[in-house]
Amino acid sequence: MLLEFTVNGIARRLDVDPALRLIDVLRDRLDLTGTKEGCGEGECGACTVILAGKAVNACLVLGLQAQGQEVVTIEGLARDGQLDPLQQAFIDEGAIQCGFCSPGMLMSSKALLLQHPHPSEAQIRSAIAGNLCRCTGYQKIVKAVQTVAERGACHE
Amino acid sequence: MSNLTYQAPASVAELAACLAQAQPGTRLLGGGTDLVIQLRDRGIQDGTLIDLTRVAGLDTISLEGDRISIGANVTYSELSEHPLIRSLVPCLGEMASQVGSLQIRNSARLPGNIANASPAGDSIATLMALDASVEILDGRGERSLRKVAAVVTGIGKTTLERDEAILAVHLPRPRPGQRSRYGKAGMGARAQVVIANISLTLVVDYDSAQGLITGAQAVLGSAAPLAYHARTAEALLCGRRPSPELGRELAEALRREVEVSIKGVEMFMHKLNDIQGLALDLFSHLFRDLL
Repeated sequence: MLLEFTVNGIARRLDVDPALRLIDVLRDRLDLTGTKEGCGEGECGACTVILAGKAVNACLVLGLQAQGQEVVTIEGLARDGQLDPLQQAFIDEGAIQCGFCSPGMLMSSKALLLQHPHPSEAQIRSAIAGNLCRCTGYQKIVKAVQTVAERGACHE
Repeated sequence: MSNLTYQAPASVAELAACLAQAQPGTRLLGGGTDLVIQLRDRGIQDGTLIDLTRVAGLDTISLEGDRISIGANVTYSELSEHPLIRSLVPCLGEMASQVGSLQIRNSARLPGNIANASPAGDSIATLMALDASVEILDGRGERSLRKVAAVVTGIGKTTLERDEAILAVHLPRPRPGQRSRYGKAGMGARAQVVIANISLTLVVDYDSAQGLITGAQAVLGSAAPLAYHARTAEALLCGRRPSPELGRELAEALRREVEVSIKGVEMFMHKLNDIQGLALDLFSHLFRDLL
């Protein structure tokens, strides 16, 4: 079935099997492998992408449900070769260890900052409550989001 | 390549036409947080998916006359943030804000929770306490109302027919003096359907002129296969004046209710402690201004 949607600002048009999830379409059809699959059932948040402005688990949405919508993945954060300030803050604060949760953490945090440019710590923790970090580096992740919020610089 | 067929009706009339063609193997798709997992777990490669999320006009919350209507496509996030819900039915907003993670709440909706009839379905007990009904559309295009308590009949069992879809959830407009609270003990913010170990929804009518509770609903979720009214606790509250002592009596009455429902199963014994703590917590918040 024909799926037409926008991914990281680029209009995409492809024929997809209705059984494919959004994560399958992104990774296997569009080669956007930055989005990770951890648990496949909405527990870990590694597959988080921004769909129509909201953070969702790409493993729980069918590809066809993105019809006509705008999707932003981790590959869509950097602009013109410049990292998003949020990505830079993750590096600066040492908020990345093994890296597997990082794309999901970044997309959950990005969705939060788009809605609340100056979130409280409680809001940050709530926004990433559905993202598991097995290296347990949560403090630094929270710090990184706070840092970018303080700098007041986040790509729209 | 699967043999799944995907339909995305854009209007209620188109939805009715899809429902009229429903076969065994036709499934309704909402936010997908349960169904997409089921499709994979069960290796489902055939049948038809009717995606409800594109049906126009089902994404609003409104107060119309004597009822509050919540469209089928209102997500838990939207429910938890809506001013009307927060001010008039706080227990429903509290329930919605505690479902799953934010990612789940951004997708999941009430009808799927009702239709899946999971014993851990967070919303069912709260909707029962609020005397909620669902508006159902069938394949002939006709609409009908059914109480949530009459829809969910067992674990994974409902009275919904193959050609029926939930269009909206309706609540009676809260009475003046109505207060409500929801709480659960169990897994925190993250979990696929948030497995509540036990939940409690309290809805009371408080007559401030007399200083008395004049009506009470106390519904227990995840204490038994089906959510149920704790009748002894409800009776206990009626006609009484809120006091710390009444809160303790409520906790004890609920503990006894749960003791009966868990039938001595050892792995559920922790629920006896959980419910007492929940009861004391909710009661003190419910009457924070008076205690």
